[in-house]
Amino acid sequence: MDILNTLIIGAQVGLIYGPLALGIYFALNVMSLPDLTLEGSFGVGGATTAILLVNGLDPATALAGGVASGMAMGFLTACLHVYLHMNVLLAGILMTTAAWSISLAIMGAGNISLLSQATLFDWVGSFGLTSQWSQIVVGAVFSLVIAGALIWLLHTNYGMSLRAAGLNIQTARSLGIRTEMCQIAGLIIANGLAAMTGGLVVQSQGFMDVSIQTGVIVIGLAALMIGMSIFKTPRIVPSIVGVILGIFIYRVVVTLALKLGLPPYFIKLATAIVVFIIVAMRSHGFGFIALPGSERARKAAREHLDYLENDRVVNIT
Amino acid sequence: MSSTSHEVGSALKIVNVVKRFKTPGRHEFFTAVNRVNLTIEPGSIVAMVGSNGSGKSTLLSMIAGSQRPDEGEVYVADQEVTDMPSWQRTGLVALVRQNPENNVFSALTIAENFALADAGKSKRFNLRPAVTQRVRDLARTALAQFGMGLEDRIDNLAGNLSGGQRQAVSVAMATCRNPGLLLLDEHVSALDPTRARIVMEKTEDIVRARKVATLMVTHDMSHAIRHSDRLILMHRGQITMDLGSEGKAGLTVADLLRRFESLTGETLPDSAVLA
Repeated sequence: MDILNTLIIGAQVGLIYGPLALGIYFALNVMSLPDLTLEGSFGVGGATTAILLVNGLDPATALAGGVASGMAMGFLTACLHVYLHMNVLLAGILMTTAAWSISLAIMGAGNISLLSQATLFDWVGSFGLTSQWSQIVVGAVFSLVIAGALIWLLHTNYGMSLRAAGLNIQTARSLGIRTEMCQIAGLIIANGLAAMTGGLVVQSQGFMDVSIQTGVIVIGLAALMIGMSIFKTPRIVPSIVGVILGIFIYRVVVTLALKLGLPPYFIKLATAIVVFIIVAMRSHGFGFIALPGSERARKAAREHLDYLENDRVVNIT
Repeated sequence: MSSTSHEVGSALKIVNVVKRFKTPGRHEFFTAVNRVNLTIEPGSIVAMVGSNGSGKSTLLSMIAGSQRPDEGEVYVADQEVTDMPSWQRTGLVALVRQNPENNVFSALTIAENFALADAGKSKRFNLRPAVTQRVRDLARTALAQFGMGLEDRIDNLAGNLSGGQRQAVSVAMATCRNPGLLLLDEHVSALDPTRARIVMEKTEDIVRARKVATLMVTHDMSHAIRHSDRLILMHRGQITMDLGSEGKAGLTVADLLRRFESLTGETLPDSAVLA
């Protein structure tokens, strides 16, 4: 039953990161915008949710406020990109740095305790669920609803124009798509989702600390990489299902690592290593462990050379 | 936005258009397009030839809207488009580029590509499903014209198609909008000679049937002669030769290359000659 227990812990901790992972998928994969603001939006979303809860709002409204604050962050990043012609990567780094101060300003303190406040999890728990199962239920509901909403959106006319803007700007524009508005909308949606997870995490752990945003983008990145490796297709439905499975698999792996005795401060290193392994598997398959001189090794060598020959520098200034 | 091309005065009117580029590192300007005037009648097919750097691509970019002229005006279907962004020109101008990657979205299905082309026309960026039965029928009808069996593959990802098939899809997408002007930027030059001939012939059939005015840039002199009503030659940012159907009658590729040499003192790179 230890395996089952590991899976349950994976679902408990992982599923509330579903919206964040889908936000990262939306920004990086659908819109092709490597937006690091998502990390800052996670923190700002958590801070806003916490302060609204402390000021007596109900958990759902507080969460909605958190999402709105994330959307504002996404809007600002998009404006830096569209109107100041700033590289998205650079804009995201700046916005994430700023987000630290913004979170502190919203909270008015370094951390806020929510132990006396009712949260969404308490509300679900009032139906007779344990705290573990209420976390799984809330996480699953948010992940599945957001996944369904994105699948629906990306198959509408508007969603199709968002996808087009993320695939080829020149082609999209020649088909009548105002790509800069698509990019703004895309970053607003993605950052809103990151902030949603921020708000959920704060409610789930019962306190808000400004440091929760640090490194959180890597969790979503790990989920995205795992998800994209499950079904290697640009189609929307398998990709989104893959991202949700990815966040779950990632958390199960981390839980296993902890159970095997890995000290908690190694979690971030373990996360990075998981991502490295997945990227290596994606790009090389089992070429790394092929016998020298075998057909598999030659194929891996060819692909490696193709990569080096086609590598391009990107100047982000 | 969409215009029926036979009701307007001219499909394209370019008046005194100038485009200069700053040469890198210096404060000098290179004039890519130098006071060009060009009018294209509704429904006619105009072939444009010229060596590399003659200004053909810059001229096409200014008509399509990806670049803006420094001076002069551009009208498509009697509507001024000089400073209009490219996304607003949908319905007026349709462009098929040389590289199939830039004409269709490989990560989308053929039907989804058609949904985008169709939505661009009527500006319906709404929250209804994009791929409707109407879009599927539109895609099937448009693709059936090529006789390549593409109409049965509309749920395939466009990335799974060959270069020739993708260009066929691109032409079908561009013409299904009945644009005021169709721009073809060497759209068959990346294809092998047989596929190039098939796609070029089908393109002409479709364009003639729909009476879409077309400006076609090509390096293939035989295509330029055979598939056009009028042939213009660009050299150093200007139109140096303009042959109507009478001037073009009986013209061979060898004649054309000779005339180009005597006009410019340069030889013209012709893919048909190189092949």
